[in-house]
Amino acid sequence: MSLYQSPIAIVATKREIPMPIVSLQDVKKTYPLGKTEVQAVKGVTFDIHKGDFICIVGPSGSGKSTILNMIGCIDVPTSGSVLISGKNTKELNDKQLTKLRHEVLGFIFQSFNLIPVLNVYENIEFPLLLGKPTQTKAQRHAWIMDLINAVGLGDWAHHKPNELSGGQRQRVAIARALATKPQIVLADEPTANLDSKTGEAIIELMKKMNAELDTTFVFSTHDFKIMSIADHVIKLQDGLVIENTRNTAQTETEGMS
Amino acid sequence: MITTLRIAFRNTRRQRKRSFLLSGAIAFGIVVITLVNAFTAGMIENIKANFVYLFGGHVFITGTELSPSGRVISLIGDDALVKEALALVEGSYSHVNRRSQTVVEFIFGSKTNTFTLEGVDWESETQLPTRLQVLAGSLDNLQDPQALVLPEQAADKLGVVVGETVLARLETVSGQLNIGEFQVVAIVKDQTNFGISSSYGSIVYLNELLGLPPDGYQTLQVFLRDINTMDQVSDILYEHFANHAEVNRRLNLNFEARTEDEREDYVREQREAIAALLGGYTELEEPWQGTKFAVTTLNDIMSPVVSMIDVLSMVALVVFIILLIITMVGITNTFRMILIERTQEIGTMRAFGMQRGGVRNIFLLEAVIIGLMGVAAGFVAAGVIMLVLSSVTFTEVSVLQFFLKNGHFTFKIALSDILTNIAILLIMTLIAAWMPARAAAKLPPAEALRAAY
Ligand SMILES: Nc1ncnc2c1ncn2[C@@H]1O[C@H](COP(=O)(O)OP(=O)(O)OP(=O)(O)O)[C@@H](O)[C@H]1O
Ligand SMILES: [Mg+2]
Repeated sequence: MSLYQSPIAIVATKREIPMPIVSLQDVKKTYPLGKTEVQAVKGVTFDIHKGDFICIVGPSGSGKSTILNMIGCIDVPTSGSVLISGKNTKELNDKQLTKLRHEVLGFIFQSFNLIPVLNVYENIEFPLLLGKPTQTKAQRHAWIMDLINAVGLGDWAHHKPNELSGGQRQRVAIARALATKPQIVLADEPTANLDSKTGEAIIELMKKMNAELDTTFVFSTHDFKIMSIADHVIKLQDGLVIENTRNTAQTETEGMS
Repeated sequence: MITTLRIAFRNTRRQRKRSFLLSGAIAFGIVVITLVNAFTAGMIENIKANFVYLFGGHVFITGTELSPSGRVISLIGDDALVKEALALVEGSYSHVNRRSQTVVEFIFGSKTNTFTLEGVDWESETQLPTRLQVLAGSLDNLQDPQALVLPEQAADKLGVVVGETVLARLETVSGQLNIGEFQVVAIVKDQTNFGISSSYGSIVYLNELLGLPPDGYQTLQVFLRDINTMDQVSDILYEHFANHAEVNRRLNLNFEARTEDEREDYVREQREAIAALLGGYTELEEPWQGTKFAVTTLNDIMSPVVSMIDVLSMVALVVFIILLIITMVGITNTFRMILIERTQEIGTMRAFGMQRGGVRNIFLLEAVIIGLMGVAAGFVAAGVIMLVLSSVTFTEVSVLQFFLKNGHFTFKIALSDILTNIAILLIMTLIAAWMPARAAAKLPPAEALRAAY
């Protein structure tokens, strides 16, 4: 009985009484296309909770990237609202959005997007050098080395991205995404440019970091095999959520808005 | 900031050929403008130095008097006022020479040769013999009024050697023909680099031949201690003469900024001034008493040369600016290309939290680095070219000698010119890179990243 009153128990119950760090409410996004418009997202509502390992799946053109961009504060919705740690992104200007991205978010891209002129170490260091420093130089160095070792690239710190394989590059990208200790890491089809074995290893690595650092991961994919690793799957079709499933304990299906 | 600088610097090395070409174009512009600036500045110095030799001095006082028959003659008969005037600028000059001079036809046997004869007061001009390089004979017996010092060139043409007697045919100030007799005591090396050498004789004897009083002279040459005091000294001298005697207008060969009306007066005044300087004879407007003085400076004589060189510098500047504009267009286009090439990268940096200003600074810094590399390369190249050019000796081309120093090109570089050129260049580079840099900064992150999708 007393266990339920302990702080640990309160944390444990948080999953049941969710305080979402990302909340999408009736989000719509239209793009102008010549004289007409394309409705890429047609009204999507869902929440993401701290520590989630979420996968967004759906066929090409279903709106996965559009939704990830809006969660990533790279884009804002045409209507509806995206709340990131309680902040409505629509009310922020470019500078504030940029600051929010720097403080709360990390990114992993399909084509890795490492900065070619910087080596592995410098690429991981890059987000840490933007904005005000929060660590001493020594702390920063130790942290970057930790990350490099965690993604298994201890011997590659001073190599340039073009000297690495795709899988290695994506590992660097994962380390970079985690450098600022963000609450959420977004990965838009992180395995699309990798063979399936490497892709799975990358998702496993993300899962490991998710467990170790309690960082929320949101990634998109076409691959059903990879999808099964996620503990929360959101299926999209034509800009709408058609399924919202938790793989773990219970399965809930939210309304198809 | 360190990150921005690091990325910008490494970006310049991504496409070495492209950066090299841009830097090269900038370097070329720097070479052109630096060479022209340094060359013209050096040239003005050399021309000045050569003029000092040619005219003998920095400031010249000349005089014209009316002969009893009403003829205008070049003469300063009374030295008293000149001494008074010189006392006012005591200390600014190192020495003065009192000279008479005329063009003489020398005759030796069947050979003749015409050149200038300077009448020198050997007693007071003690430094002249030390400056002359004696090739034959000696300068010990200059007290002899008929002693003649000949330049090498003239002696060769006449075929005369030391100890022989030559005849001198000249015109007196009243226009009559006169013949003198000189004895060659020394043959000296040509004094000037540009083929205008004088022979030297006694001023007393020359005055006698010209029909001038023995203690008179035609030109007072003032050698200043500091060449920068030229205008100041000449103003004081002129002022004194103007207050106590008749004066000719100052020579002003600056033709600019004159209205149609002023021009006629100006041309007449200047004709008088030039005539006074050269000892020529002008039509008599109004008779005067005593000596009519004229004060001329090297700057006055130099001014048309200087303005000619200024025009040359202006042309160089225009060429430099055209070159720059072409380079700037190149830079703008290159950075537009870079913007397209690196769109995805810009999106990535923006996603991770780089603000717009950061993206813009990377672009601008890259341009500045390319500009600075060009500037550095340009100065090195210009330095090498100057070093090579100034080590070459030009002995043959005599027209060129006027612009040279002992047959060498000399270059003079003003720090202010260098700094101005660097500033112009960097500002133009920044302007050229500004538009693409701003476009890069304004790129919406979503669109920039889509380039990667
Ligand atoms: N910037 C844009 N301008 C116009 N249309 C766009 C834009 N971005 C996306 N779209 C359109 O919106 C729809 C959804 O695109 P989105 O990129 O989100 O799909 P996706 O699920 O990520 O597809 P994929 O699996 O191919 O990456 C598509 O029809 C697409 O053409
Ligand atoms: Mg997509």
